[in-house]
Amino acid sequence: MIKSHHLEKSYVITNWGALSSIDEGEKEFSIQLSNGENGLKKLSRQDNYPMDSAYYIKELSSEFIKGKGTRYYDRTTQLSIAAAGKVLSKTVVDTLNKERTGVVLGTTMGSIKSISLFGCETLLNERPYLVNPMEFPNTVMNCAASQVAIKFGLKGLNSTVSGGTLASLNALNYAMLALNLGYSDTILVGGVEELSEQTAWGFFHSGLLEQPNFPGLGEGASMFLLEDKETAKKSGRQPVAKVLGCSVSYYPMQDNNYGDLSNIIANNIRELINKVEFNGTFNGMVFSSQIEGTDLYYLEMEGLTKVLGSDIKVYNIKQQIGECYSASGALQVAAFLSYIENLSNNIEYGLITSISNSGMIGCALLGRCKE
Amino acid sequence: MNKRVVITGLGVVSSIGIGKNEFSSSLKRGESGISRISSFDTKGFPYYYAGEIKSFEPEKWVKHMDSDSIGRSSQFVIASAKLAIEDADIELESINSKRCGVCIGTTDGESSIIEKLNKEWVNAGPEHLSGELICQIPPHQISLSVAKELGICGEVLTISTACAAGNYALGHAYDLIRTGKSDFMFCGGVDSLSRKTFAGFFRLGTIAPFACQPFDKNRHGLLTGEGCGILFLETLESAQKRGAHIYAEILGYGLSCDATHMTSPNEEGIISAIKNAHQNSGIQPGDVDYISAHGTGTKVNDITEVNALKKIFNGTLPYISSIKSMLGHTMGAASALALISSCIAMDEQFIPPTINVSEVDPEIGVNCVPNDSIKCQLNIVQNNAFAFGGNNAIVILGRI
Repeated sequence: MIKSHHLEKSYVITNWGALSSIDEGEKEFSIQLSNGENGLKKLSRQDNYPMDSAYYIKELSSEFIKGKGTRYYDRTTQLSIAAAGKVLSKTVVDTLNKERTGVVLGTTMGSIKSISLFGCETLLNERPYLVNPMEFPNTVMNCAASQVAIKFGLKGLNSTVSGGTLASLNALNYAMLALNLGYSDTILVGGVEELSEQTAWGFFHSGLLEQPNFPGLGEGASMFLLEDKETAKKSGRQPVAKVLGCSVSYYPMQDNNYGDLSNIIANNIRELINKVEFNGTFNGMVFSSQIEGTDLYYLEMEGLTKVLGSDIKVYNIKQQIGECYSASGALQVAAFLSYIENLSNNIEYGLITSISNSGMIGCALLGRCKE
Repeated sequence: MNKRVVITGLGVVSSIGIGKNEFSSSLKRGESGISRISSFDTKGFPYYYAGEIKSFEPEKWVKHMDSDSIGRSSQFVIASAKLAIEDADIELESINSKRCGVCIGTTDGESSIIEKLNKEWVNAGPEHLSGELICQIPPHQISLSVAKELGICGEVLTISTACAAGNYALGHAYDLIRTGKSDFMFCGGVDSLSRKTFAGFFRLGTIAPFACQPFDKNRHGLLTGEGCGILFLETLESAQKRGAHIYAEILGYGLSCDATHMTSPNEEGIISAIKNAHQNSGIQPGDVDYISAHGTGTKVNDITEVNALKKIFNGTLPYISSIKSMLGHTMGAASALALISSCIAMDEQFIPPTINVSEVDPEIGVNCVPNDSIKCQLNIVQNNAFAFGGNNAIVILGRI
């Protein structure tokens, strides 16, 4: 039943899971992050990458990507399912109404590796149609979100949104609207990015690898269970944080001239903060998107300080886990959730910012749940 | 209280016409847009027909950037968006750009660019790929391109839910307007002809040799196609205030996920999506006058779709037809073009036919408006879309 719109309602996160190069999918992301672990590793000489090292997961393992029905999972699907598996422990799954639990995943183009390899098969094989039909599903961009649904039996709203740097916040924005309007009661929201030769050479040829202070390419996935307080309470799931709001917009830059971008970023943040239940003092941490030294970093910082003052605490996880592109926003959320798990940190809010060099900007405001 | 949302502009780039008027005439005549594929090498494939767009001039539509700097899908979207706003008879300058957004669905994004890059990789290795082409491939560039061309600064999103993406995009755009997050939206779906998709469907044994024959006893499968459909949305209040021509109101939509199989359609999942759509729209099955079917022409889709519909409609379906018989399966554009076809049908009071029908499959047994369009007043239309991954999306449109 579709409900009437409630302006800027907040939602709670009741469970979450992340995997990246610092935890190899096995150790706890939050502990590795707070220990200052760095996921940069040398790449294997057998692979053909335009760089020597990357923030990749050397040995990805999860019980959910082994066994029957998993043979044709590509890496994007594996990362997504492994992350979902961290969220959906047996205890959590038993409390879910699967008919009303959905998945919204942010990606750029699913697995470009799967798409490209499949396309190359049509060029290289004796007959262009001698492709492996079992690999055809991996070439659709909604493959990972659908495989998560199949694996965990989630029949609710299922969507995949594109967005590059903004993919995760696009997913969060979409999910919040869906919950607001009653299309779903609980949504597994997240972002995923696989490291592949295709992505790496793509970044190389677009000049991004050469950018000064570029952290290096990474991979990972992060997902969290988003729902309203009442649904969580009724189902016996404890909130770990709240999501107060999310906002995404576009600034059409001309000829790569950043122009007024810092003001646009400031307006985006200010509008979000004005619309949500926020008491005016930002006792929080910014989980930012740009590495210090890049042009976009200065614009992001300028935008942030215009709204929050120059005293802000900023944490950029890319120094530890690299540029995880579509997964970055969701991993920034994971970083906030990790941060508040450590009770000695007394910040109340986390502001996630995503800025892309194509003019897409977004932010999300999260808060600690008070007992 | 949520606002009412209406469709006031239609923009089409298709193999049966560019622009609403051409598209409408072709639908009425049951025109086929199928031809021999020329945009990619079909050597080695036993079949080589598709719904390809032969005469599209991107320079005619792309003005604020070099048309070569964007892919074919982005070019289609820009053209369709401009046609839609022209059809809506509203000046873009009169719209607050921050209160206008873009939401486009796609299956394969910029597939022809990926194919060019694949060739470069195979011929010369990854060290020699073109940087200019790389920048064009992310699917979010499709919605960004049109936002940049038209100066739109609201929410700009690409939804990649494969062959249901058009319905998903319209649904999301509708939600943004009815909740007051946006005042105007350009929404729809797009795809360009893709060799890898053609090969994949062929390998699954689901490509027809010459013709797409939905619901026919001897249907052989689908034909792939390309195109773009963009619908311009605004509130009912805004449309009435400016005296706009209203095609239809969006009554609601429903989504579901099969969560069973990546490629096989699932009756239960389809039923769930339809029930959600009817409930969300406040209608009963008996209110539906016409079903714009997913109707790909494969053995399994058509029977599964109709069996699901029969359970909802208590054995007696209203009129049902599939325009994929004329266009082929245009992937991410399919449900958007079908929404546009439905709007035109409601506006001009006819039902587009399912062409290429020799004998309706007795196991299906529906009135699929075979071969010739029929005059009919339509008040409520249901548009079906089902995708790989079990993503199902149904939209309900109503006449004002």
